[in-house]
Amino acid sequence: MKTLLLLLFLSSCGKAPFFKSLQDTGNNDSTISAISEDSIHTLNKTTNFGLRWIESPNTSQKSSFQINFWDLGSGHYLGPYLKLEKDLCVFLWMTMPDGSEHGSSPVIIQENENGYLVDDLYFIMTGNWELYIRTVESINDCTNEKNSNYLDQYVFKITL
Amino acid sequence: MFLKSLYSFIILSFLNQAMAGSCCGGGGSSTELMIGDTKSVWRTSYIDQTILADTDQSGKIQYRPDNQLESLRTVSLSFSQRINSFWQWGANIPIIDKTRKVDNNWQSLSGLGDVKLNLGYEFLPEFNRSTFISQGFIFAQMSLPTAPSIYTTKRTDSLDTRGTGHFLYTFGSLLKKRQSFGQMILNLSLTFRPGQEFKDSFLSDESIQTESSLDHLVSLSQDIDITEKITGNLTISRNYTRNKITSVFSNSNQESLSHPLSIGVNYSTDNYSYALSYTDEMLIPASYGHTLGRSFTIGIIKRINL
Repeated sequence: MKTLLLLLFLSSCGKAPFFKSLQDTGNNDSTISAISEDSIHTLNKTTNFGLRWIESPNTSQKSSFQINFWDLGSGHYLGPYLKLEKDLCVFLWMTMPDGSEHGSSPVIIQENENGYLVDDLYFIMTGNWELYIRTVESINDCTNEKNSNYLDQYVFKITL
Repeated sequence: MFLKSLYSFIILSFLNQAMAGSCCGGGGSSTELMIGDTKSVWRTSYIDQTILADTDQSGKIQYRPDNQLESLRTVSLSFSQRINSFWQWGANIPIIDKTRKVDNNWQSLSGLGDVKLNLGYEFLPEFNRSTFISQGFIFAQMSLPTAPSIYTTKRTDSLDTRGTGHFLYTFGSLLKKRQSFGQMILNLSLTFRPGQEFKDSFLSDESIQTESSLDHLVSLSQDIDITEKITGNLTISRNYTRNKITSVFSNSNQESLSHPLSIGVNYSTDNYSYALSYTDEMLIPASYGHTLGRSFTIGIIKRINL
């Protein structure tokens, strides 16, 4: 019995699961809409991805998130993860109620062990934002603007 | 009677100074001319404007939630100086305090707005006694991009975007019709905004080239003499922008139209005038692509007579 308890204890050690509950991610009510309930999103017919906020969307400081991709045939939300064959492009976009549109400052994308760390996202004002996750043929197509060329995309709605 | 002309102009000159809210600054122009027999006029005004709603390109109004309201408080110093009997020039220097919510906290930032210079010519002096138009001016105005805009701000919360970021060139005419119970003033102006390249905008790693726009403002003001010193005023304006400054990010040109309605009262002494007015952009529904707000204006005007 003691051995069983010890094994249970040991198996619960380590890092927190990649996909924590929405409350655990530190998001407040205004940013929960940024993350769907299942935390799994489809980029194209063969690729899914998961996104976890490290620094939640806010208007006073930078935000950042970790994004991991996996193949639908061989992967799972716990891995193994894949590196995209095409370039990853991420940017923020705002369409204001009066029709005005604009983006924000370019983000920084760093490839890491499991996927990509997207850093330096600045939500420069309150309102309805869109977070664009794209693959692009060439990094030159990642112009930080909505009208640029892309291969696949997923758009998150974020209200601040 | 010239005092009453001046009263009317006081309201008229205040009416269109409120800037558009949100990120993107205002493109509207204001005009400040002396229409009385004065050597110079010095004005101090305080405008308290709250942005409450927006209209989309189809005209549908969307009221802003509490955390997206914006408040703009403007202290404006301006003067007009006579060059000779027909020519005059002036300047307007606004200091703007912008308030909005940043992460559930109301935050404010103050600074210089877009400075305006103007030149006016009285092509129809009042002593001309035209049967239809009592007095007429043509004027030119240049708005300088002295305030940070969405293209030049370095702040990641863009709280300091108080201007358009563009040079604006305005040409127009101001016509006055005297009546037995007051007077009517018609202000017609065209504003040209050249496109401009922004190389160091934080919105993009590459340069951003904005498009030009030809906008217009039509303003009709009716004064009613209540007493010898007190005048009431009602003004309606049409403020049209052909191509908003952020149109470069859209698939097509973005127009905007608003119809501010203003009501005010003026009290005057020999050398000073005091003006109070209320402006509402939400009373007339035929607006689109525009931020909508309400504002109060208090003004003190010192006249130096000829």
